[in-house]
Amino acid sequence: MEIELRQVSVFLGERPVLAEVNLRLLPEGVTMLLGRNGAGKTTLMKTILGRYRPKRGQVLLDGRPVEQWTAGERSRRIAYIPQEREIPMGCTALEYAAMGQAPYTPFYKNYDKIGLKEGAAALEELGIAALGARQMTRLSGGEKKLVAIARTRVQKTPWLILDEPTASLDFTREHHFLRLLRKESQKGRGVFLTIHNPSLAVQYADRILVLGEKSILGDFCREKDGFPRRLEECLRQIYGPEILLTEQEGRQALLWKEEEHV
Amino acid sequence: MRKKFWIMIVIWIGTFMLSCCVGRYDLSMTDIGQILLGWCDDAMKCNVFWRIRLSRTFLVAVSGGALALAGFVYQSMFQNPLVSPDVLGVSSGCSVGAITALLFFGGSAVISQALSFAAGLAVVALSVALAQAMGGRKLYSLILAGIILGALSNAVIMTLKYGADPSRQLAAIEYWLMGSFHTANWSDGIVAGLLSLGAFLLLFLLRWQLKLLILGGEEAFALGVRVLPVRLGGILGATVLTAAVVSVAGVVSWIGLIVPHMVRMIFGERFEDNFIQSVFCGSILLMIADTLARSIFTAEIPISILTSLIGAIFLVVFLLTRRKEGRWSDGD
Repeated sequence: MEIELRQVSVFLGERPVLAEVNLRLLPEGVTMLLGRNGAGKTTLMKTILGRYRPKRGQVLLDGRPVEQWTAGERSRRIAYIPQEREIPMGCTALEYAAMGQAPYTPFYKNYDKIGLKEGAAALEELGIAALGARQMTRLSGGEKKLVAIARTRVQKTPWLILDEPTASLDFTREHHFLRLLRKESQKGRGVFLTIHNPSLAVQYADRILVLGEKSILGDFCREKDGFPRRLEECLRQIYGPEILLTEQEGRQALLWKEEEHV
Repeated sequence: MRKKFWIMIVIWIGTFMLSCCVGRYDLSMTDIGQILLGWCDDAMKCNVFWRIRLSRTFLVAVSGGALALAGFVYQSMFQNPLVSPDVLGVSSGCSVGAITALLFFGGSAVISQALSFAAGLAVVALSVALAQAMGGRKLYSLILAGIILGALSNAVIMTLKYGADPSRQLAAIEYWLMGSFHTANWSDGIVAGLLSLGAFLLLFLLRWQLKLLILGGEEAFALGVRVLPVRLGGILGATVLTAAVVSVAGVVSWIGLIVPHMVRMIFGERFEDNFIQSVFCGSILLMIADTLARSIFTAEIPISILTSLIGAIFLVVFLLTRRKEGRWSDGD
């Protein structure tokens, strides 16, 4: 399913957050959105989901405006893992994963009947079957993220949208998690996420979007010529001239380099 | 789990029977057996059972279940274990209605109940409207709006009390605010029962959606939940449950707050099971409280004295066990 934003402007209260954003996302590969704190990354995602209504412009899912999709249709196509997640009381990891079945179940019916089976299978595939019986409140940040991925597998959506999924992960888990997202994309799902660390974006993204002042400042594809150099230029515009691209053993990373050490 | 559930059902039946037996005019189990089978020729006993005891016990059983379920639904919707059914001001609203009826309409039971029920619903509707107007993060604005409307209602209650005749009306108002089932009759029972049944069915149909809402609005939305209608449905159901009880029995405190905790402690946390368990557990607890209220002293005492006492004791036990389990520190 193709996601398209046409001339989208979003206001939160009186404040303009996004201005005339144009964007097309195809359900292939991993797309990462970079931008400063408060640049409107989360707003962009919630606008795609139809949670926020744009003041002007349109969000189209497969050419049809997002507000015309029913809640069920939309939730069978886009799975979303928000950044500030409420940790539910009274819910095991398995029950949490089973909730991915809800979009396929009428509202008055128990989605658990099929959901628990599929949830258990999804936890198994991710190698975390042992977490199933534990309460969500007792899991670590990394474990919760994996269980959330299991839930999106039960949800079987062509799109997976995640808001800063690596924010609470330690160094190795960040890498493990992003590798997992790459695997999801190789299974034919579109993965779209926000991230703060540009080095991780350079290492794992197929396409990088940079959100500047209220609109998309740069759009870079891995295959295109001069991919990291042009990205470096663009990131300097939003983060400052200290951004520096380096290369070590064929891997690129972005560093923060100041003239004098403090 | 199954076993515990059936034990609870047996306790429920036992409490119901006991509540039918105990009172100023004691009936024995044998009496009740005979009355039910139609073998009893003591007209007095029959009258006490059918006209007084059974109607009261029925109303108490329904009320306990209704209050506990309302508390459970609110606690899970707000993801806040300290929330009671009064969070949006329903009890205060009901009180305003009942006191107004008492002062200006001579305290006719029908008018008092109708006015009380309507005022309870109206206060909650105003809370919701105010929260919508305030916007922001919806759940917090709802709680805030509830506090505001509750405070306003209390101001009205105090004004009405101030203007009331201290020798007759004031006592009646105070008594109403402490709750009691001593006026219970079949018409109360049937009205409260039907209202509660309707609200229960609404919440029962919405229970899977309400379970998804424990994830918070964002994630529930992404899983296809129509967040606003489900929340409003949950609020409507819980409000009708509470107002149905409070309008006939006066303010019954604490049941809605502690029963969901008791249930989670006894049976373990699982939304769809806790939903039903709260109903029975609340029912049992209120029947015990009501039986005590009319039997420990020669004169009947208001029910909230006992529910508050039981609630406070339970909360102490609950917090102490939590601390032993080391659950206090990890922020859940």
